[in-house]
Amino acid sequence: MTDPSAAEPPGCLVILTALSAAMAEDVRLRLGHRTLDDEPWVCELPREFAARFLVDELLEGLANTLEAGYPVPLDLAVVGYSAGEDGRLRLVSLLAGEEPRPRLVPLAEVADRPVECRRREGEPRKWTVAAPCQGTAPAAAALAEVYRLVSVWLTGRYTARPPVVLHCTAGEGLDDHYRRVARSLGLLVTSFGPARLLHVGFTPDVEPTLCGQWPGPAPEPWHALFEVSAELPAEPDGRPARRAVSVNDWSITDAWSAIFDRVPVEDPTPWTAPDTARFEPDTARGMWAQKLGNTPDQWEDAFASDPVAGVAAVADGASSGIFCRTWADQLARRFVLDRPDLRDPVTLAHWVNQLRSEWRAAINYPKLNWAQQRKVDDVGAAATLLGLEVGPLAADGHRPWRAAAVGDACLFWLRDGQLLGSFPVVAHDQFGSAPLLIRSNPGYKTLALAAAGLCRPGDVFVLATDAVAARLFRSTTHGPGPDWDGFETIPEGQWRADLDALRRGNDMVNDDCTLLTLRVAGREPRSRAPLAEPSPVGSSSAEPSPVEPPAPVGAESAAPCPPASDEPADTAEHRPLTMSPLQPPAAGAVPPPAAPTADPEQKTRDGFSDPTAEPV
Amino acid sequence: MPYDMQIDRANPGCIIFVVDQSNSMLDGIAGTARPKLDTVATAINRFFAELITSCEKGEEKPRNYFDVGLIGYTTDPNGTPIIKSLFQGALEGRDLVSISELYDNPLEIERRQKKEFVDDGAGGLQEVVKEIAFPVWYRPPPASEMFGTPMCGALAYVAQVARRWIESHPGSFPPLVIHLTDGEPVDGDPRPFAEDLKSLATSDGHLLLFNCHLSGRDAQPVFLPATDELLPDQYAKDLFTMSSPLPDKLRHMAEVKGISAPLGCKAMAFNADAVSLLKLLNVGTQVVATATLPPHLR
Repeated sequence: MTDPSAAEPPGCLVILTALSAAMAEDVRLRLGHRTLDDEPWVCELPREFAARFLVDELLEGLANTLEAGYPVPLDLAVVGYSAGEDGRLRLVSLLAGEEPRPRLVPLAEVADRPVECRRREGEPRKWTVAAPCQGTAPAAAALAEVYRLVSVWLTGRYTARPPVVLHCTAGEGLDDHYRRVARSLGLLVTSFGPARLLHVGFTPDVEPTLCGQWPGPAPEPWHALFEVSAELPAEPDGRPARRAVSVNDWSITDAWSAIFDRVPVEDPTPWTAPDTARFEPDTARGMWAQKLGNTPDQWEDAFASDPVAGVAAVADGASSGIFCRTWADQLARRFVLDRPDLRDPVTLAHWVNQLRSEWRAAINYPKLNWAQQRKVDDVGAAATLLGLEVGPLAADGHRPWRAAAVGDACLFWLRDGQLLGSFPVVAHDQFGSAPLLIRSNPGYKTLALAAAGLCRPGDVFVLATDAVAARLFRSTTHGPGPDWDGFETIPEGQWRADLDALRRGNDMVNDDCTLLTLRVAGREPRSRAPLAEPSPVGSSSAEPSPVEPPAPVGAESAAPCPPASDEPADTAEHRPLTMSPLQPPAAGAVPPPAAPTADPEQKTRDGFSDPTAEPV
Repeated sequence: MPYDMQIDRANPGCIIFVVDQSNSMLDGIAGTARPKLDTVATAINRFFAELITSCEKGEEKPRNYFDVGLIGYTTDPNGTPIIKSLFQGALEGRDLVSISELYDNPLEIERRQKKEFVDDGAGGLQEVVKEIAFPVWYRPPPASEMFGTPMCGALAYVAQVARRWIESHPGSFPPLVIHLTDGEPVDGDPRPFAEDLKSLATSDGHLLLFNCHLSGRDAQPVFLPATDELLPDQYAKDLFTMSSPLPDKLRHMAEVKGISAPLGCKAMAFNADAVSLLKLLNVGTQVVATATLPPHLR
């Protein structure tokens, strides 16, 4: 007998509920779009009760579906959040019979638990527990934790169904930071498209309204949520395609659609086809600084980019490994040259295995001393890797992009100097000392997390290793934010001096630092005038320049665009290639085969590779 | 006292071994005929090799992340304490040496054989015997030089060494003292001496005293116990009292590495392998034990 769930891809569902003082207050609402005597049944109820009822109703439906013999390979978490006077985020699992610490639990496990019934017939059982509603609701911080939960779950699961996050909120904290995190969540993709975020709001002064039935523009803060909320498909004979924002009402069919509707997304993007520049070559730039106290040749990060081909990578060697610089360098360079599809675990494993052999040859194992051989045997090298690719310009003016990450090197996506989203990390406190790594020794799985979106000419991508990325996040949430455009022009010496000051002042972790910045090209790559007075990394004291708020990007689905066929193909030979500075070879080491080289004098002279250097 | 100072060349760590070389250390360990001091010698040599390996970055020499001490204690036949550095050869007489000095000066590099299982290319595992280097820095003294157990004097001596090191490294991660003994001191109650030693501190925390008790009893090995209930005799219980509570930072690191370290546990081992201690001290980005990853990522 075959396993009926074998054909069903796994999924995850996180329900996030505010537990602020406001959630204890009554609001006029319609309980799950119910009717009484064919009239909408509207009543006054505490918001927290309504949210709990909503969640119980959804879980009841899922449990019953499972019990009826349908495969529902779903992991789920129900998370309440609030903050006390200290402002610190408190998260608690609201699933009945569950430890307080939120985690994803298989639906089958939840469905097997004994649960209390409600008094009235036809009402859902109490799958969740009531929790006290106090303090405020720091929505951005809570969603960031949900992002972490979802991203760990999604790693190595590109063929899963898209993760679903349902947020029940009284409207507090739905600010720019929240939307940035929400947008970042929507960048996480599976082969069925992006993660899906649904909002159900509870607020006075808004008539109960289901998503897809707003009579006019929704009032704020609900309207601003549209761009970051999932687009649900049109219902046959029902609501049109719609953004999942409902207020004082909900329909279980919306959550059902988000969980179960799935169509594989074809990706026709010719990622590696020859093209005119996909990034503007004259602004593409990599900067780096070794850990304080180390010499430059002990920097263990690496970066590489090919702005014309629209590809870039950064890698961060783990400090407890050996020959990590060689490994990180290999990963970054070869990603840019080989363009492996890291989303596919088989392709990824094959690619990494090939690099492992090359690494072993490069370090010249037989010539190593006993301590080095032992360290190679026991630990080997390890590094995080982040790869970014941008596709051809579509007729509508967009370019598709995709990224994959193993570990916590981070991608920032900017438009008009504003941070739209990030990947695979969304907050400064999400960098630990134990990220996922690609190991040089055999026998270790390598699994990546994937993201995708549509960018516009002029958008900027910044790739940074963990210490720099953490500082950039801190600066984003605790101040006016970094001067992102300034990274294209700041003298590298000044950037390093700024880093040193931050590191000496313990305002930043003392670690190797790497930052790569790339600007998305239009039809014709343009030159940019240098920006005046660039600000230091992550500590800009300048007032942010007034800019238009970013245009909705959640609305730009991750579906790839057709290639622009009218663009002349470029040949690879005139392509500037940005690379990490060359590493002095290890004792007895041989250079990795087929690795491109760059002018070593250039590297030594200015400390980072010059994108305008002679083509390789 | 956060114990969160990163160990690097600018702020190295300090590890001092204190070895009981009394006559009773020639007795068998854990109900076997193998002398306790033999076990200690193997553990120290392995620990040093592991420590050097952990400082190895593929450069010409391993990095000087640690200063290392090896201090022994016994008495002469008349009961006069002999407490001194056990380094020999070029390092003789030195209380503390750097990692690169240690790397440069083993007494000998033995070749030993190690069994390994490797992929046989057909979905199975094949046993292979690999020859590995086993450097030796410490060899036990002849039995004719092993007499009493001046533990109090030894702890006082170590306190001097640690105090001097702290003076020149006031901001570093505090020294770790690993004391290997079978108990039975001859020069009084060692507990006040242990308290003095543990009172030494850098700005990052108090010195950590880790006691490894070696016993002839065939009782279950214990590592990082939270209570003394499983410890079979009074000597072990006294050493438990003398041991430092394991700071949360190190406890967390133990858990990351897959070592059980319950809340309230102490830096103590009973007939257990001291080399696991090293796992608590690694520096920088960790290469995590797969057991701590979510199941689908293992």
